[in-house]
Amino acid sequence: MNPHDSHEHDKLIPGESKFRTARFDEGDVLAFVEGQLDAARADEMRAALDRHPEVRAMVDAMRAQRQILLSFGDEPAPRELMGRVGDALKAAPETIVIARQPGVVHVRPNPLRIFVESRIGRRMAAAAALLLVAGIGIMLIGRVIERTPIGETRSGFDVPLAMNETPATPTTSTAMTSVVDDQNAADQPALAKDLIEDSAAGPTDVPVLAAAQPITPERAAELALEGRLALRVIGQDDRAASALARIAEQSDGSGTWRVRADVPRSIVAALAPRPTPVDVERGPALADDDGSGNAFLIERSNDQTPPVVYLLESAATPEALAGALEALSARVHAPVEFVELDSPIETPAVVDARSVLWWNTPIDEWGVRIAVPVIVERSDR
Amino acid sequence: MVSPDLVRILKQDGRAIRTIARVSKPTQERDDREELALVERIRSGDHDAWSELLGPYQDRLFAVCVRMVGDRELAADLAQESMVRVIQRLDTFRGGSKLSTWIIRVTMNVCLSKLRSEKLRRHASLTPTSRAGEDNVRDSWTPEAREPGGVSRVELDEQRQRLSEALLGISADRRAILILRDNRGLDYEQIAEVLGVAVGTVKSRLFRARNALRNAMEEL
Repeated sequence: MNPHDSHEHDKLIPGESKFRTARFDEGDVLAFVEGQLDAARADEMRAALDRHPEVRAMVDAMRAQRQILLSFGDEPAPRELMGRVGDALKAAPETIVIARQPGVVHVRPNPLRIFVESRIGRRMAAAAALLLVAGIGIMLIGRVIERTPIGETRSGFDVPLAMNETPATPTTSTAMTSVVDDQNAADQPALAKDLIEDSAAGPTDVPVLAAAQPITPERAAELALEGRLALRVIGQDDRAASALARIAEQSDGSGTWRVRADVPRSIVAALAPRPTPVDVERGPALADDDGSGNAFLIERSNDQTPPVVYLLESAATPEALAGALEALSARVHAPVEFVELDSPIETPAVVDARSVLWWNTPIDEWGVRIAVPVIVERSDR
Repeated sequence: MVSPDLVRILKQDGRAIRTIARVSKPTQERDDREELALVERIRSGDHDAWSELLGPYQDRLFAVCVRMVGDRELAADLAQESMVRVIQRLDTFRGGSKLSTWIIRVTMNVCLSKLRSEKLRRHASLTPTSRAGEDNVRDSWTPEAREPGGVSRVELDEQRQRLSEALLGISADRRAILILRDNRGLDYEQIAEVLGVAVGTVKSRLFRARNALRNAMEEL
């Protein structure tokens, strides 16, 4: 009996993903193609394939393909291949991993270090260092310029030229009241006093120019735009300062002007009394007569009281400033006058409802709004 | 076994003889312990040992790359990248498989990554891989290559040419499994290890790959 007869019902099903018969599976066909099927099974496979010539053609093609693929063998690599690999490894020698060996460091490349050590990296690092040094230098120079007073002193004191022009004029009394309710304002005398005591010189004076003639509102507006305008309130006692404190509390910005008590410390410091210059020609105010030669000792006055400062916010127009001056004088019951500062003071920008909602205000009120320092001093000395 | 006639022909070209000697080295399988010793030397800081380790593999790896991408220059680049990667990642070799399998796995991953990233299959060069006239390589027919019986040398070259073209016409994954099984002779377990799939999956994919290659050859 033909052994193949018993498999006449076997059905080979070729397909993309399945190839099976009632007795053969993909593994059998793969093994048959590779010649690894045992002899008995190979005979059975051949008998089945004889009954299915289309499947046989496919299996024969697979066997032929495999034979050709096997015949390819190795491909001789280009001779320079190993050299190229060596070069690539030399380019990153740290990447040859040395690990899990006692005492051997596992070295990984540090990208930043590689970059810095490269030629471009070194140049960029040098440029960055140069820029850093230049930047620090510019910053320091800027600070020195910022701290340098506008004028120079004849005797080396930090005294504005404007004051040197009138050295003997005690127009700006240094006796100021410090009675205010506002905490910020209360801090002002202490700050100014610190500044005074830090000074190497003795007597102080508020950096305000003596006005030969009263400052007109027009001139006041010009000075206000330059940052050199201040208002001086001359009171007989502490009532003027107290009145200003109340005005500051009540000012809500609804009027054409208002008074603020939150004065920046920089303004208080700028308005702090400064050392009185020494007239070199005439000698010191109080010369040492013990023959020690220390002829420029100056007596430190004990009655130097720092000023109390408020800020008046108003439009920088002659009319507005004149109106504010008049109203302020009426409410503090004391004379108020415009004074010219010897150097500009940087005041904070005025941000109130009027400046933000400017289109809601009358056209004649449109304009720059500024903050003017209000210096309160007593004249009862 | 190299036939006397072939030796006589090859002796006419000294370069070919040197190449044969170089290529034949990988067939002398090194002992696994010898390779592991080389690995330990590299790990211990002997950086020069890498050439000793990879030298015998270069033709095998280059062959895999050539079959995968069909372009010898690109294959050289990929073989180079593969060998560099093998050295760089030698610390990840756990010794759970044969070093040769691990190296082929790295190489195959490099090739598949390249093919997938550049869609190289669509633009694959169909340049013949035989290199008659090139002075730095030898013909792919080697004494170690197994020649199908009953076909002439010319006929075999033609068949190889057609198959090379058809190979580039199927997907990279199917090409990979055919190369690993029918060209490199890896067993199913090794292929499963290289491709990261189960053995049963390997058989199934291999059957489909062979069928796909047959269809591709018929379409040429």
